[in-house]
Amino acid sequence: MVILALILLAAPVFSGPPDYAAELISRARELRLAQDPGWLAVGHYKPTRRGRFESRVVAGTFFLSPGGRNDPEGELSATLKAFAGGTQGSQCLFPARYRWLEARLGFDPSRLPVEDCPKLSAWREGIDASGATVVFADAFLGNPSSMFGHTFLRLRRKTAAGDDDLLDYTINYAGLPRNGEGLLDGIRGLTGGLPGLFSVEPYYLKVQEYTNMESRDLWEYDLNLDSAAVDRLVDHAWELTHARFDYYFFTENCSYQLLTLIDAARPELRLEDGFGFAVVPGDTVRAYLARPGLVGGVRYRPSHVTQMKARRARLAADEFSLATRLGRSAGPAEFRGLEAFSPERRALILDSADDLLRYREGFFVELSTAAANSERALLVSRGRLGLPPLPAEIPRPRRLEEGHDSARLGAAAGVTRLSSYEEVSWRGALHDLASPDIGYLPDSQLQALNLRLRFDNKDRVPYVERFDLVDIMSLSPWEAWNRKPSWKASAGIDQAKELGCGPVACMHYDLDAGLGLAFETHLGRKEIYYALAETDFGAAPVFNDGWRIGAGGTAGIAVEEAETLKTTAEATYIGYLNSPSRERLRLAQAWRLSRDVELRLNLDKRVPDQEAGLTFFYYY
Amino acid sequence: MNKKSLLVLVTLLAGAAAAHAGSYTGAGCGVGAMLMKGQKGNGMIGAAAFTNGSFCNSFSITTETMGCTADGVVKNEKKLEVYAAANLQKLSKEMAQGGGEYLAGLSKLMGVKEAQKEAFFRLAQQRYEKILPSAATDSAAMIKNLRAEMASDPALSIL
Repeated sequence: MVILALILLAAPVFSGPPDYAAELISRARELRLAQDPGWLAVGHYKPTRRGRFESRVVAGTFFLSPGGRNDPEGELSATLKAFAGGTQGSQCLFPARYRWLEARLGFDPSRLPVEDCPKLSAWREGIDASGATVVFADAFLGNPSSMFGHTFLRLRRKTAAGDDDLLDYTINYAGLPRNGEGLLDGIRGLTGGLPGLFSVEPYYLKVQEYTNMESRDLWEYDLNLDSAAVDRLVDHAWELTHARFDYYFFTENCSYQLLTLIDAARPELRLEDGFGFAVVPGDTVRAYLARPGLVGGVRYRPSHVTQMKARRARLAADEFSLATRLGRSAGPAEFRGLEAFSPERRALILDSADDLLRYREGFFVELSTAAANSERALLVSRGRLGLPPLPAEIPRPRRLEEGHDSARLGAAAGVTRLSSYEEVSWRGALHDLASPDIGYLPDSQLQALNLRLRFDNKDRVPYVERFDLVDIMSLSPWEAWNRKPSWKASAGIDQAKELGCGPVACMHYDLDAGLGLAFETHLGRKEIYYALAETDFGAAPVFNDGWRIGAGGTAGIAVEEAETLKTTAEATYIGYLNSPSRERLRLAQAWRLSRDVELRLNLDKRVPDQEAGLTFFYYY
Repeated sequence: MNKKSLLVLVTLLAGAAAAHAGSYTGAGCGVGAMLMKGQKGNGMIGAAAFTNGSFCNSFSITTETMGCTADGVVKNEKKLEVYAAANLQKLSKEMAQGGGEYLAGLSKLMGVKEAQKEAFFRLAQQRYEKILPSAATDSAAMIKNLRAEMASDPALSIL
């Protein structure tokens, strides 16, 4: 591709009859094609504040005119010159531009001969696309870059047989990190310091990556695009394989670039309209759904863990204990234990045991000899039963669009021991533990840019009650087959009420992290208990040293009485090295009144103060 | 709690929390195609490096031998080979179970007709120990053995 580009750039611009290029350029001017949304979309041009245009593509062999990045008109002229001038390879590099301009200007094939593009043809044939599906991967709190979820595009094949979706190709946009510079790359990813690239990969690799390795469920949303739009999309994706963007985690991320890719194929959809401040992957799915008739079928593809849990739920107690032993280490004694069960139950036990073995050992790993032999014994034994695959019976969770929107406004009023307050709040994203889980990762909390401003009616001052830059809590109920720690981390501004200071003086910067365990019961609908050891650091003039550091713990319970009703209670104690300790007891009751409306009652005892309040939340 | 033990606790906790939350940082929603040897892949945070999504590197197999092309589309003649290598574990499990999505993909790549798919699934299960004679059988040997078994099967030999 680079060589092709060099030839292209080195070639004289007017190698063919110049009059036709000039003619096309003047017609394009008359039609004002350079300002057409379709042209701006294939060039990824965005208006700048100074009324000009700039392309989001920053490098690569994407522009034919030296100033093409800031000049849609010049780039259009250069493109027509290259096409009409017979610049070798230009049509093959820019098939979507060619298609678009040809549709507007109607090229004369005798004066602008069609180029033969064997590489492009092979690529198109390999992908064989007849449709497009947006795939949403559930949030994964274990990786900061995956916390909000992810989207990529799957291109459905013409020759699909219904059960071979895995053979489809996908288009994926991602920031390209440098090897081994995790933390620095995180910062680069936030500030546009990483190159952003489109890539094409078989769907089976994406499925393995998300559902097996990261335990993330996938949701597929089929787009209703006609074959001409799919062809435009594939051709434009080809153009993008040699384009380089700047990657921005919050704004110009995977989900945003997917919108622009689809906009390039169907400019009238204007999918990226309304996205500016931050692009949450789930919100882009809502944007697709909001375009009438755009989304057809929706499918759920459960992760390995989800399948494992569903299968395990069908095991009786003795079957479960045998499957556990077989999954840990399958020896002759365990296999003899199988004989007590019917062939159908044996199949279920063996399938479950292998689910467990793989979950414990991992995917794409060189298994130890013992584990490899164990797995082989399980599979040989399963094969000898001669029974077909067991039905899956996996309950489908609520879809993300059934959950509340990403951003939130809140209004609250309450009383404290000596005063009363009114509060307004805004949160950029996304979900908190106290809120009913519909459409979100259960038992998780991810709050970003959460600001609570209060007005104290006695002191008559406004102040920051709490600000979360980021506030994460990931509870993983500990159980026989899934032993993962639970953890939390937060950074923001908090109140040090334990010092007895006024609301303004009590504000301080706060960093907090905790690690521990969680358990789940189903006495009612569902209960989660958790206990985390915790460390806390604060900085503000109110502390004697200007800072304080301490350790302690938090224990809590979250009870889901109904799908729309949740009670949470939490107790925290932190002893500080150089400051009085913090003791806090919190109780919250949340009611989801509709998809985007929630009412919450809070009781909060922060020694020596205590308060009670009612909050009304609106998600949008 | 005396101050000394508190200090120790703070240090330990901060270290543990930082190691837990920060050991896996990167950019890009889902950028880390962690198809790497040594990755646990059970949803735990691992010390995984990121790859650029070019799976050829991820499997530590060179572009040459895997038949990958620079633009991500696998060459026709290498499709089966790459698919079998990438999905060997899933294929092995589904052969034992007598069917499944990964096995359906394999049947397609091997040219098995829709009407013979069930026969293909049954054969894979019945001849499991011949197709995968040991825990160390690699994907190329698996395909070779599978072809030999298919050739000896009246329903599938005409392929």
